[in-house]
Amino acid sequence: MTGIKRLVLDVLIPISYPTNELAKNLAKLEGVEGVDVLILEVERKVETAKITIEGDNLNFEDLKQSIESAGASLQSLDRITCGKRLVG
Amino acid sequence: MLKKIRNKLEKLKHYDKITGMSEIIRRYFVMNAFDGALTIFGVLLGTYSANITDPAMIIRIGLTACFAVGISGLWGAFLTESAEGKREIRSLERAMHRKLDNTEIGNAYNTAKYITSIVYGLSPFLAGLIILIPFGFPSAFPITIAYYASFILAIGVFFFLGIYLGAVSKDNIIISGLKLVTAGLVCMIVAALLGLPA
Repeated sequence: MTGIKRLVLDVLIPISYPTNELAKNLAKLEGVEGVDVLILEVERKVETAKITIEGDNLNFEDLKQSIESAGASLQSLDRITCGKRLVG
Repeated sequence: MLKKIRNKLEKLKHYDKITGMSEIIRRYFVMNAFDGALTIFGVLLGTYSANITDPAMIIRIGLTACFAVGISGLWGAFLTESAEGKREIRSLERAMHRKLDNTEIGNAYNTAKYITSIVYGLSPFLAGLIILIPFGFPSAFPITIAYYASFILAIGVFFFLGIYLGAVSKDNIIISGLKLVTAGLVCMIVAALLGLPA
């Protein structure tokens, strides 16, 4: 399988939204095997997180939609890994 | 069916985490129920002093007052919570640089507005209704007994609300209950000072 194996996303999350719920919702999506949310910065209303998602043949549009429908905002796609095995 | 209800409850719990509505509801449930109970208690002190002995009339007066406090709670809460929710969403939108309509955050604040309004409306209505119960059985008690039973029920409602507050704050529940009963007694004293037979 040469689909997307890992994505690293920069996401802005409203502080009132439970981050664990966002991580769990992403983990439920098809093809997702693991989700890691690292909070980089906390402000009064929002927090910036680096979300790493690993899996097999990840669907970027589904992941983006899940993030946006929660009320969070995808700022940038920082890293994308494809191929038969994980590199780096 | 059960799964649907469980899913709805899960969603509500999730919305509660976002908006913190349960805390607001808990606070205003007691305040509004107390308002409703004290209003009906005052109305009954008035009808008692005016020698109104027709249970149907007392029920009509009492129910009208119950509806009035209920509608007041519902309307006031809906407008207040709508304004507060909108303010919070607008401020979040500015921080997020995006619209939040039709997102979980937006839906959570929208749902919180309806739930808090319903609780604010129902709590004074039901608290008042409980106090009117003795007048619902006109053939069972003489009217004086119905009045006294209602007064005792009112004191019971005040005490229960006080106990609930005491349990929330983990204080002495008896003292907390008595604090709210005191408000009822103050109402009776004021009634007496106004020349009403309290």
